[in-house]
Amino acid sequence: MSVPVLLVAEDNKADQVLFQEGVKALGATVQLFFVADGVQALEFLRKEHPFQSAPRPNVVLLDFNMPRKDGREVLTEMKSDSALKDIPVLILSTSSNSTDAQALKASGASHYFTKPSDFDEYMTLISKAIGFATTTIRA
Amino acid sequence: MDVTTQTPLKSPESGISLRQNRASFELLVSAVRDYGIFMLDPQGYILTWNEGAKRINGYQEHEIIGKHFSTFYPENDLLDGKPARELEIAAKTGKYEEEGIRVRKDGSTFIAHVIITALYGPEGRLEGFGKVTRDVTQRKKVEEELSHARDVLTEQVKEAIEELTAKEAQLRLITDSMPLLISYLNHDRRYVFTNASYVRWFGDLPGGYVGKQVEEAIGTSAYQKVKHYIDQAFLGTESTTELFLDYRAGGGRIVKLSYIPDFDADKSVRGVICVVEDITERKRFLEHLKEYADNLARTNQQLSDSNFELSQFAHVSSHDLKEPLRMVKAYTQVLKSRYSHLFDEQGLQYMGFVVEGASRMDALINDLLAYSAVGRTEAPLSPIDLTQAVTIALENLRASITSSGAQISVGKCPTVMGNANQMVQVFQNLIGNAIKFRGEQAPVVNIEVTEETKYWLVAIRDNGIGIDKQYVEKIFVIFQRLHDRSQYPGTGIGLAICKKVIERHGGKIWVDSQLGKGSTFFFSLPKVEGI
Repeated sequence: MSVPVLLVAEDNKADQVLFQEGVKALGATVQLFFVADGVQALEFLRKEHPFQSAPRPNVVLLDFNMPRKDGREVLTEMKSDSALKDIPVLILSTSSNSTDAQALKASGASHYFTKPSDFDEYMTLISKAIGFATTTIRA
Repeated sequence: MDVTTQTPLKSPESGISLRQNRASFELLVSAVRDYGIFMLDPQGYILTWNEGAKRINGYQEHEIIGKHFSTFYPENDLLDGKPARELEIAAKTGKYEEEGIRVRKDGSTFIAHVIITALYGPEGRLEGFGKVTRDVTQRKKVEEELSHARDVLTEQVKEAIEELTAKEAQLRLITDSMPLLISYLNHDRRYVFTNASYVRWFGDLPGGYVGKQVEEAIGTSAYQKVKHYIDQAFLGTESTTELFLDYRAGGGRIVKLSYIPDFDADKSVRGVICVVEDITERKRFLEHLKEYADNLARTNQQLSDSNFELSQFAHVSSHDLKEPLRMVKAYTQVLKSRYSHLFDEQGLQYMGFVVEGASRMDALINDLLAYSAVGRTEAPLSPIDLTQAVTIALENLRASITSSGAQISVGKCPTVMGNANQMVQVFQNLIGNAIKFRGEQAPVVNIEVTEETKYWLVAIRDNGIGIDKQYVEKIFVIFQRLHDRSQYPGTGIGLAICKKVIERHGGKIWVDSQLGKGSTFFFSLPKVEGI
């Protein structure tokens, strides 16, 4: 079984590192790729420069608030691209807004997560994300 | 025909003899029917009689000749000696004339116009008297009736004038008492009537206002502005308008003018009634009122904006605070787990404190968010079944109810106007507190709603630890706690949120408590018509 590939779009360096720590704490074997904003996320997905040799992610985690293109915009573009629409998208937000969650789910997001301040909860979030990645591999 | 001529009648031209003339004369006299003409001797005895006398007095010739003329006089005249006196006057002055009462043969009376003339012979000796009588009873009657009629008329006119005068006085009394100008104009634009206000407003005019032209009374500037409306009124159109007029005297005023045409029976305008009210004060007052209202509205808006801004600020700040806090908490936890081997006992304890502090701050921020969210809700009130709100709150508290073994009883609850989520929050906080702040025994919580005239009164009673009387106000203040966090967890926001929600609903919240015995929290919700 191939190693799950996770693409994480997150502009905050601390959050990127935290994600890595979470994976480490879980002891999971995954391939993690980080991009800093929505534009880079789409470049990665489309294997555009400088991401020509990027692998296809099994799951994409998008921060809701990103510069240049935010999580919502990337989601919309992914879902209207036949090559990308089947990749599960998870939206991460600092706030829990049920209206946003519903709207994003309606736009095709697989899940809406609120970034927890508790590390254990964060680890749960990451394992769920890995779970989504694994389902696409099996499929 | 004058019987008193000194010379006998003669007509020289015709040569008619005296004898012939006398015959004609006698014919004339005797035949006259409307006048009684007869002769009396110097003592007053009747010598001749004529047709007229017969008719007027009623006597035949043979009945009266030789009788005294006093026969015709009424009783009291005879006693008075009037007939003799009349002859005396006639003899002295030549004539006696009067209108008096005479008596006929049949006893009936009549009014006679009588002339008694003294007759003198050629030597100047009194020969007798000539009496001419005319019955003027009818004429007298008519005269009297006319006179009476005239008297009555005069009396009526007098009365009418009195009434009119009284009415005019009344009119003046009423019109003068009014602070308005009231006047009546004729087609020349001259005043026919003005009430006392003209003097009050513009001072005296020499000769008064009646008869003066409008322009003279109020001044050219004012007249130019009202001229059009007066003209319209004289053409039959009533008008009312508000203007600022700079009057001849007394200064400028903002006035409400009405010009009312006075129509007579054939619909033509015979004059114009003017009514003018000074509305300067009223206008100023209304302007001030409007200004005040505008200020009030502006202040209201400012307050509303400010409130919203504050809520927004609290919300945004809380959000922005959560981000770095999350980093602190999460990384401290990572440090604790991944680098625990680098820390000694104390170091680990300190890390614990860091995490605890961060967690507390997190909780505070969450509560602050919740508190500010109450102010930011723009959702309108809708009817809510309080029983449902209680049910949902109890559902949310299921875990603590089970673990504490709490017994909750709920009375009948009405439907009120409010925000469903917020009401759930209120019940959840209050019931949650009732369970949390328990004593030795299992919590027993009772929820009752009673109906007052203008509001519903909700009471949540518990058998918990109670509250010291001096703190009953303090507990509703944000983040105020009465106990150690280790004894009873919580940030102290619950009751502050309840207070904010209830007050936004138009109600009040308070507590009745006894330390060691328990507390009853009360809140009121206004009743709304139709619910």
